Amino acid sequence: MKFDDIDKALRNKLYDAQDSDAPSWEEFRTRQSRPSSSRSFPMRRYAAMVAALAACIILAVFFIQPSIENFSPSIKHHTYTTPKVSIATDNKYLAAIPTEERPTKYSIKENIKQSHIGDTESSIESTDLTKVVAIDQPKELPETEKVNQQPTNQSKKQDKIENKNYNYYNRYNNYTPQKSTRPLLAISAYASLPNLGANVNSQSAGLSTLGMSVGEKIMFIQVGQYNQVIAFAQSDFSHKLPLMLGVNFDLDIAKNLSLSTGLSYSYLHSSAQSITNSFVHKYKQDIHYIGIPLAASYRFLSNKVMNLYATVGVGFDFVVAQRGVNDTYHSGTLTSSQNVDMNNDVFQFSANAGVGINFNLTNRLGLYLEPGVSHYVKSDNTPLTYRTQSPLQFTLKAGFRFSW
Amino acid sequence: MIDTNLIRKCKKGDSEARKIIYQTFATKMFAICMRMMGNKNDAKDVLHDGFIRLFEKIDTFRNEGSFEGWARRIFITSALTALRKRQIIAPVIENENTVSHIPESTPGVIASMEHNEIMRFIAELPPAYRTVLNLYSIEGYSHQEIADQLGISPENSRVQLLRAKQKLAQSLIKAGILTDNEI
Repeated sequence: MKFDDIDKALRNKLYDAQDSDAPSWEEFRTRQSRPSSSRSFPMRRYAAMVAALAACIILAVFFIQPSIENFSPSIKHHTYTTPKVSIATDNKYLAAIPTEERPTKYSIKENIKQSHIGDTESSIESTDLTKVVAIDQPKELPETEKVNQQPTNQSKKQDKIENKNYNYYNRYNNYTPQKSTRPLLAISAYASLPNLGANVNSQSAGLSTLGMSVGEKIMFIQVGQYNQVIAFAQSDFSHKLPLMLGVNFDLDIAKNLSLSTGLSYSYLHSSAQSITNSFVHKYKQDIHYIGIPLAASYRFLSNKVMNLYATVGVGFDFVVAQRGVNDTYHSGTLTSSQNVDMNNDVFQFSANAGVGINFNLTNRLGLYLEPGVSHYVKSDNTPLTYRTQSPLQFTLKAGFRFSW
Repeated sequence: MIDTNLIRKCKKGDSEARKIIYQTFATKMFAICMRMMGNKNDAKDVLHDGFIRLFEKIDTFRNEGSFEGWARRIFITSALTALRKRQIIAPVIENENTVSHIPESTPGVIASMEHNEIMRFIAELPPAYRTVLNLYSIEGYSHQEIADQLGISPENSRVQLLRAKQKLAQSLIKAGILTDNEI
């Protein structure tokens, strides 16, 4: 460093100069209590979150709609042809009934309404069913009486009708409309960690062990008022294990088949270090994603204790907040700390697959573990994160599932 | 000289310790902010941001070297950040009237001036010149450090310093404080 006389004169005059116009401590404290503009949350982040939430609600409503129709018709879909039960309390009524359709052995004293099974669940009265079955169980039904004796050599056609009726009665009797054991709607909250392992840096991932390998991505950041460019090679980065938290809505659309969607939050932290001359540049970035997963699941085993299922789907992750800071150190002293403008893609697409096991803790609550694999699609403008470092990830989701 | 006990208390968030540190350094740091920013309003903003950063980062001060030197770095960094945000450090368009030489009597004239008066002339310099002059001549940064801070080459820093001095000399001549013997 060569100081000339002007430098010395300026330094002597100004280095220790003081300015009495400095604000007082009270002014400083008063100003400190005001909200800082740098702390404000940009509106576009709120907008992205609201949009994601709205999309989730729309999807949920869309899928819930057919489910409501499906619930009561679950009986309608199992409609059986109602056998004809003739009420024979008077012979004049019998005369009106075709011979082949007349009751063969017994009838019932009481009037039995012919319910059209399947109209509604409530239209089937258990007392009616008991009495209908009683037709073939005369010994246990003192209310019945013999009304019409038929010849012993019945025609084959009549036997067929009787057998058919008998089967219907049994099926009616055995049929007890129950609530489906499979959940129509389930909400699950989960946490997910990839690779079940430690943080990743490029060298341990084998991308580069000796400087920059061919094809290695280099990230340039611009700092300073002159847009000074600092280069960080991919191998300079180390990525912390990302954490994903989420809420899912599962909806049964068919037997053993369900669709799910929801909201997920992912936090990815990365850091890099680069040395130029005597300066050490330490770069840190935090990226927050809100994601909308869409998946289809198939249950291939289901019992009271647990369910086993397989799932495939896709994920749409949107950056809702990202922050990059470059700290420059000289001789161990922080000389500058500058925010880095991150003009990255705000969207990342992923494909996911996995198998899961759900342990039924209670009728409504289950604990599930879902090991799987995810592939994150990256572009040239995708920020360097754990997901770009290792696009193919083995993940483990764990959470609780509430079913209705 | 700041007591290490005071710094330790400040690290613990003691409000009274912070107040003492503020009162000790506010006037000196405000003078730096004024030199760097060139106007009082911006200087107050930088002073405020600088003290917030100082109290946030005081944990990183390891009692090695001067606390004041460490604090100066923080305020200069805050000033540079503010200048960058305001995008007022732009490449200087050369003024044809800039003198190509600096009169030999310049150092003596500067030495005889009041510091407020010098500050006024420095404030009138283009921000890029003023920044390099402040960092090199007064704060003692090397051209390499300036280059790294501003994202320019060390040669560019040298050129800007020379032009800053030429511009300062021209202002002093215009004000009748300095006589250009070679004209």
